[in-house]
Amino acid sequence: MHYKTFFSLIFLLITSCATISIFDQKAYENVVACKVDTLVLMSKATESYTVYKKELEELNKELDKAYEYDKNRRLNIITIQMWDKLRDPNSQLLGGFLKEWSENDHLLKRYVAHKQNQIGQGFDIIIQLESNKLR
Amino acid sequence: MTITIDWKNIENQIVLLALTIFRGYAEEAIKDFKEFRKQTEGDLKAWLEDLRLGNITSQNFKDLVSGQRGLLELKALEKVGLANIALDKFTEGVIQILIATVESIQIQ
Repeated sequence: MHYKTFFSLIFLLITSCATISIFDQKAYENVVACKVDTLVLMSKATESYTVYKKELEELNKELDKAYEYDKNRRLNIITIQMWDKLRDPNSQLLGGFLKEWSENDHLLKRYVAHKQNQIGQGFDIIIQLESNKLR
Repeated sequence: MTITIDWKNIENQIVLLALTIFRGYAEEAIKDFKEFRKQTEGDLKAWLEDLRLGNITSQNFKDLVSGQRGLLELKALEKVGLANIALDKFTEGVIQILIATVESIQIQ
């Protein structure tokens, strides 16, 4: 086999074996914006849920958009699984918190503060994975 | 016509690349989990104190603990993702080594 053909074959073989999506600026910006908007709205959870229903719908729309964008990226299953965990209404992360707020009308101040910290860390994990991806 | 390829050099470079990338990944993962553990211990103390003072309910406390378990699951997923990134970085490095080798091939 000619040496150039040999190396070309190795090159082709290796390049077809990527295991995870590359960095995406838009996805990164989406998740950062979601984090900021989520934490701002969470701080209102000491007040009645009914007052912020419209803002919550807007936030869910923003989260849906970020999720859909990530869902359509190739080799991006891990980020999607992260979003699923964060938003699951039966988990005690963002999905569970929003459900809890709607069911209890309002929540205790210190609890909200602790949850903001916890859910903020959840977003940070998604952000860090994205920012570590190859460019 | 003789083609000279320095296979030993390629092998050495690939081994060095693997050691650098995967050792770096392992060290970072251990450091990160240690930090997470430390952070969780601090959070637990703060939640218990708020529970004692009546600032949060026992249900709130349970939900915070469940949330922390959720965070740990996210961390585990992150580690899988970072391992994939390390693997892709290694692949890219091997390609660079091979390209450099092709460019330096001497035909006599």
